[in-house]
Amino acid sequence: MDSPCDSVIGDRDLLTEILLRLPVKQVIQCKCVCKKWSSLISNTKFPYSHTCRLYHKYNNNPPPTALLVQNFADTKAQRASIVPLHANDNNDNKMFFHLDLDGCNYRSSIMHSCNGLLLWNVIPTSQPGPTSEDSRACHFRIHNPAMSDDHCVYLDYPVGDVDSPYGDDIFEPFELKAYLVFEPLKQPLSYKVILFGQMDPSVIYYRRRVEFKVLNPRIEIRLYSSETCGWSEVICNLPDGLRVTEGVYCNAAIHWFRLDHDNSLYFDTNRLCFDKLLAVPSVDDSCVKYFGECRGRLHLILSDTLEFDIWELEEDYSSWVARYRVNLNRMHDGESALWWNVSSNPFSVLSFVHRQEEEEENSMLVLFKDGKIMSYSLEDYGLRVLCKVYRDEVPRSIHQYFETLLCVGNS
Amino acid sequence: MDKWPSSNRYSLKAALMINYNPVIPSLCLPFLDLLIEIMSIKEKWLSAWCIKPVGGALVRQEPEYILLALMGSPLKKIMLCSSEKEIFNVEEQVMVQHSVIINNMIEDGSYNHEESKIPLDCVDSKTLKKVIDYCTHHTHHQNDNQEDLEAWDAQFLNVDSNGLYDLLMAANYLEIRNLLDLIYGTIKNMIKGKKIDEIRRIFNIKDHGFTSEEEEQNRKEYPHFY
Repeated sequence: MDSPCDSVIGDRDLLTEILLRLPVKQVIQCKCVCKKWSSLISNTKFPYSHTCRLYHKYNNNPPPTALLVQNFADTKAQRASIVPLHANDNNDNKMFFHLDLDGCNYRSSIMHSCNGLLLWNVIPTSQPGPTSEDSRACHFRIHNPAMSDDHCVYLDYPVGDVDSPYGDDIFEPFELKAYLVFEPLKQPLSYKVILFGQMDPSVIYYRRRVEFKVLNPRIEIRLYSSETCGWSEVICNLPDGLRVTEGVYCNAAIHWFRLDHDNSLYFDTNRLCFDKLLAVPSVDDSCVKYFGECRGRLHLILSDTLEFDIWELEEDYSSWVARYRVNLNRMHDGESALWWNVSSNPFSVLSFVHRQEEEEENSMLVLFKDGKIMSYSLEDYGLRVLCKVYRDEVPRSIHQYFETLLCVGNS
Repeated sequence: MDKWPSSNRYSLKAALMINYNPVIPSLCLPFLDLLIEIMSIKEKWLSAWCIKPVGGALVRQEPEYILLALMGSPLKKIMLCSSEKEIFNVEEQVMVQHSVIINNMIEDGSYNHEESKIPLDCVDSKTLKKVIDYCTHHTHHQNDNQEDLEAWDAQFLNVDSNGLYDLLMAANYLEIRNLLDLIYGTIKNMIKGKKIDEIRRIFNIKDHGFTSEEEEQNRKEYPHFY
């Protein structure tokens, strides 16, 4: 007669229920416990049920568990640093995977992180030899870093416009920004990749070092859909003077703040067109500290002193609402209060993570100063060092990330 | 005998009839309901009667029971039979509130209060007693504050792991949602923060079923977990 433990573990439904309630990290650990558990988790329905449950718990917007930080200046290190947002004493939340992409033949950078999947831009640094397996030209990769690399999707760059008067047959923009649109709750799983390519440089230098600023650089937008498995060109109402800069992805739209003096706009990936974004009243460029997204809402942080104002855009884009006022003078590191005797703000804001009242963790600001990435809690004013980067420049490429079990590649 | 309210002549007659005539048990309660409806009897008059159905006859009792009776026979009991053939009497309302299976059985009328017992062949007496304990406490104390309830729950689940799994299977069979969530939460905490070898020990997994290459591959890929 089976012991009660064996009866419970032996019952597929009960075991599934137990595993469905675990966080992603524990589920991946359970994959390694025994073959039976591994096959149950790899069953195609399990990752989807698990993701639905997780999203339901957080009202369709799970909070990030880590930040992915990558410095473009650092050409040697291929790795991106993973900065867990909730470092506990017992290191329970240490990340269990690395972000290494095939060593020295490629220079890879994370373009976008969306709902647990990462979009990488991979550029070969030298001519790959005939023996190397992966002798591809520039391409994109989409993968779930928490699961093994078997489920990686490789996407070649789109071809240039052969018929264009400019004679591009290779897609080689001067500036490229790429975004991954992945909505995990829709079945069957599908994704889109949107590229914004600036085909003219921003500035042209003439013979006698005269600079000519290109007023209306040529912009091309390409869309890849997993349903059609192909690239297509997007023709839409391009605003004048649009430049390809870092945008913020939120709710299937890409937002750019104050592209030129008073135009904030966004690109809707469903309707494939541009629209104007509401401006924040009386904003001076110098005091915009941060424009980003968290859990489906856009946030804007303004300050010119140690006091921050955090604004949030309403869900229907109708108005900006002032959410928090943060005073960085009220800060302690767990033992004693910290004081800053500088009048100007020494901190850079990397991210703002918003938590609801029912959740255990507090809302926090992720700040950067003197080579250290720190989290500042808005509830108890505690400052905690998350990670040391040992560089003085503010990290440029920051992505919020949380783990998921879903993969889009074929196994 | 107390003074009957004079304005309720019909009720007085009915009361006398009930007390002095043998009445078929199953008619008692509906009869009382009918009286209430026709007469719109107020609370203080009920207290004058103090009648309660017990074993088929109507007997004088405390007013609270009358009011409770009017709200739908909570003191009606049902019989649950464990795998060891032991019978447990439980208030119907308690089980109906918590167990979806029992609720369905009662609602579709397949359960006859006078004769049936609900056989639960996969639940032993010890576990069944515990389950009944849980349901009873949560029904009677549902207005307590959250902390007290949580403390009681923690104390309730302070059992050895075999007992916990037995409870899980019973709660699953009877479909008691909040007990299930509670037990799953406890199991989740058992796994949290443990290494793989410990997890294998906790769940008594002697043979993990991986080939030695697979096991080595896993160890290389996720050294944190071991």
